[in-house]
Amino acid sequence: MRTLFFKSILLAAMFLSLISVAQQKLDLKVLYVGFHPEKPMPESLGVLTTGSLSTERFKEEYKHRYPAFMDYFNTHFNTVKGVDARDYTSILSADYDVTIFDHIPNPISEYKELTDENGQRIGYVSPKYIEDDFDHAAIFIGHAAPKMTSPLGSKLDWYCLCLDAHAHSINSKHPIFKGPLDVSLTMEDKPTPSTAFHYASGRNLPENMPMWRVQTEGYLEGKGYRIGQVSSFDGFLDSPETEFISSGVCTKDINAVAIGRHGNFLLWGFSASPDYMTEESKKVFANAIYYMKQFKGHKIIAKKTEDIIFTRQYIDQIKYGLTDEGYQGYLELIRKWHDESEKGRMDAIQKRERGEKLTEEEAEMADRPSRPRQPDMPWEDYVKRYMGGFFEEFGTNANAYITYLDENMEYLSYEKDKGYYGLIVDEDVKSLGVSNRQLELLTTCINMLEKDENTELANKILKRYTNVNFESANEWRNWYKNNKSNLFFTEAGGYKWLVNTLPNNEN
Amino acid sequence: MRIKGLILLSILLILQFGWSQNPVISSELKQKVAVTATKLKAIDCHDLDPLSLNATIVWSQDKTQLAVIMKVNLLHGWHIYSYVPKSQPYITSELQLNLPDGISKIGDWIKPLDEPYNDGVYIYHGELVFIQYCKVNSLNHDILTCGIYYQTCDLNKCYPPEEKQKNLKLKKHL
Repeated sequence: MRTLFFKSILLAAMFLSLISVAQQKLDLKVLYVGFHPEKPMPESLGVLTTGSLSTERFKEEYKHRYPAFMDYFNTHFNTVKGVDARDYTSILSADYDVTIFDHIPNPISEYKELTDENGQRIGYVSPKYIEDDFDHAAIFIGHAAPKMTSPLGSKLDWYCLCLDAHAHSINSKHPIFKGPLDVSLTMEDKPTPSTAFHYASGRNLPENMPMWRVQTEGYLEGKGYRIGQVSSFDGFLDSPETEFISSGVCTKDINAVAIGRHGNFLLWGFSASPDYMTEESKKVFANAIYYMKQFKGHKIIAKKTEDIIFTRQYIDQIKYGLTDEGYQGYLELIRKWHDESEKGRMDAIQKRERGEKLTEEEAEMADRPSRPRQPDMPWEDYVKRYMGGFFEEFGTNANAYITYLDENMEYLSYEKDKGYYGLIVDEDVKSLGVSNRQLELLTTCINMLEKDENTELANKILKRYTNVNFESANEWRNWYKNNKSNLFFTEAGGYKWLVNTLPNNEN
Repeated sequence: MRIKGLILLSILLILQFGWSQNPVISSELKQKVAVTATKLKAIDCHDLDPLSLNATIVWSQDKTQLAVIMKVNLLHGWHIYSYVPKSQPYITSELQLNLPDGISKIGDWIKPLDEPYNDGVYIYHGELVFIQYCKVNSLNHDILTCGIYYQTCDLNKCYPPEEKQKNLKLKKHL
């Protein structure tokens, strides 16, 4: 009896202690980077400043967004500091566990246009906002992620500024849904985003999907709220320092990354400030901040050097696109869009004629001239879109192209400005008959060096497919022996064999 | 040859449409603009930078008017946005023109016909010509800047918004 009494007391104490812990602030130092309302609004209200908030909404939200974040952080964390984005330098992050970038600081390097010898523009170098060696744990809200981290080679790229209010395809086992704040996600069945069906990945999608509301307002409501950001899933998980956490309702494919991590950078693609977050997402966001603490001192390993790098994940999309079904589906889509648009225009005109008040969009439609349906895109033009640089070789013979892809699947690689998003067949690798995504590629080349056979080709391939460079076969062999168990192949990272340098290889 | 003829005809038609709104523009200048716009080179572009911009200036014979011609070329499969309703996420293209003192716009940019896309969105693709007529009162500075702010997308991917500009020397084209 006495034992039972003491056990009950102990349990009650533990319960009270748990409640007390739940009410305590999390032991974390957080730095918030946003636009301080006491500072004047930026002069230029372009998309990169506003995140596509309408100008009126941006002006309205300017007063509230920063304080809303600060109130929220002060509720959940024990050390909090806010800084205006225009005053931020990365040295400030050193004293904090996690930095949250809601707006983009001033650039630390300038945009550079690259030209050829005739002065013709051949590309550009994006400005940088944080240094290459930035190793502080950071969370980027919406478009701050691609703008600030892509120039450093992160996979949190600009796939589309088109994320709305709901998450789907959630990795609910991820730690950010588990704690330290207890949260249970309320899922509701909602229609699968219509544009997802246009992708090869969307062919077997259900009409409805379980979704989780992250914010109370999204841009789809048409009230001008800030738009969220998604990054591309293609090649996202092909290096060990990445995590896919959730996708969300957007106009891209069903796998688009709405919440994801690359090294010390986390994309929180949803755009809402805490006053527009649901109670559940407030908890998950706090958990995400807490989770990121452990990545202070980390860096990205696989660097995505270009905005688009062809990966083998595109193959299904290309193959489907080159079928008659894909072609007819495309034509049907274009016709449908035209007819829907004409119908919308006619409806708006009739509404005006009835003397009814038109919305801004309806007035725009009613004022537009009628246009005939565009002629169907000829097969030749359509095929060119997929075949790119290969069109000269295969013309409109889609089967030949598909056979070519199948036969060369293990030798596919990337070269800037070539083929479809840079798709090429690496003839050097093909000549060896070894897959570029198997370790055998490296051992074959090292063997060639050791036997003094075709050393020029072996060196060329080793340099092309690694980030190291050695003079002798012996050095290559030692490097391989020392790193064999940690080598991984990344396509998004430039078709490279890289060494997993994560502490304890926890991933 | 046939395609060039069609482009010339289209430009003449566009100019005719513009003319009805701006009768002050001389037919001689319009004719020159049509020919120059057809001949203006469309600069090549590629997947990593799918829009190129070329531009030039055409003067009227009496030097009281000029036309700024921009030729935008989009890589096959890529488009930019001419109109985006509030409920859609894409970024509407904006044409830019920075005129020196003494020169002013006559009307608005003359634009090619756009095409409907999904959900009330309208797009441009392919080779596009934009024309802006201007009145010249005096020529105090030699540089005029024109450009376009835009977002390119294909069926898979969108790029962040970008801006391309061209500085044009007014006297060079006199």
